[in-house]
Amino acid sequence: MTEKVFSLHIHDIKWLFFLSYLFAIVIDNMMILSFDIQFMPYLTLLTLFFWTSRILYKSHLLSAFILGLAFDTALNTPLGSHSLIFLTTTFLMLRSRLRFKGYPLWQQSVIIGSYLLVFQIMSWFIFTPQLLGNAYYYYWLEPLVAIFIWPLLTLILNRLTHQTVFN
Amino acid sequence: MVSDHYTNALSNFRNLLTATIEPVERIAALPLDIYLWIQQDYTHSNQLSAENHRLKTENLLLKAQQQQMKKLQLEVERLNKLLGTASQFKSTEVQIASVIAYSQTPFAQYVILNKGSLDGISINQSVIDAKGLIGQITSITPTSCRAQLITDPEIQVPVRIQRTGQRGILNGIGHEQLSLLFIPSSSSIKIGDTLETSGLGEVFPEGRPAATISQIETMSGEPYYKISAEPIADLTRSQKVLILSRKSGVKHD
Repeated sequence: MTEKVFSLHIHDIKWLFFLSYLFAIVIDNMMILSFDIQFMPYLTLLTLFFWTSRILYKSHLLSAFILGLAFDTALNTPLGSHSLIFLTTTFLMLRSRLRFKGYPLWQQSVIIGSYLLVFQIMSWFIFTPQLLGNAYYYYWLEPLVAIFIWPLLTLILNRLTHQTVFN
Repeated sequence: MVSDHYTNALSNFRNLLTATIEPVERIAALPLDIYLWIQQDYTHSNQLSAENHRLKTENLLLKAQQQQMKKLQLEVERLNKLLGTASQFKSTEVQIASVIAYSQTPFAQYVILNKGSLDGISINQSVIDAKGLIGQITSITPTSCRAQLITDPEIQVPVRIQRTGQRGILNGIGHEQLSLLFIPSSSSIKIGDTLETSGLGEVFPEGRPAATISQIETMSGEPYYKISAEPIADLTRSQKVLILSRKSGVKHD
């Protein structure tokens, strides 16, 4: 059983894989278009980190590029700019994913928070976002929020993966 | 990235991507639609009656103003003929569109409208509401389009001060705030002055109210004022907007 989870293959969970990205993109767009919540980290990026640390035989760089393009389109930013940031953070995750997988959940959350911090710093330099009033604090709060969201996301996706693989 | 930022070379590819993610955006905007629908449904009939009365009065006033405007237009054209100069009136085609969703992230401010290339919308058309300039169309799909607001840092609008005719550039700084650039510190300017589009560059039509001056600072040793302005249009509250293009005629929703 353990061996099967460790050697997770896309064809075992293809629907979950695609639906999780779709759901994450919808939620991220919802935060922008319907709720105007600015301190939520991108669930899509967290989902990408999750699959990068679970599906080990793929680099996920193509997924990162395509998801980045989707965000460039949704946020009206220059095409390729989000892709660049998604690719960089995914590459950081790729470099340490085997060790990352072995860490306890709290430690994983802190690492995810640091990746999100890299994401925000890169966004800061590339987009020079207009941060007035509370927007400044919300912007730098995102890595902290990601630390709290990661355990929940991992729990949900782990459970769904388990159900999909063994049912 | 560079190509998309400085040129329109990838605009068709962007339109294709926008069309691809359009269903996602429609689903994402559903909670707001439902909230607005419920809010509208529970509006008291007295409020609706009062609004109806107000709109009828407004309609009457506008019709009267339109008659006056037609008379003035004919008079200006007649005077132009006498002087032998070209008419300043440029007829515009107007399309009424509804706002599907709006975004006010620190990265970009835009609205999504329910008119697209199938309705004859094209890139760079201007969008206005009843009060003033809202923005410019930057990407289109067959059934919707996206207009970047004038508060978006990517948008610069050539304007002039209505009172003095002094020209400058209006630049978005996000959060419903604008800054007016290149006004020499020797110019006559005061808080409350209205800024209207100057028509330079022929992207935005001439004479549309865009913003009012809210703050003026003199920078010692600097040749220009540091000026803040607020948009006149209801950028995030308008539900119906007008898309302008330089042709004649009016199309309704």
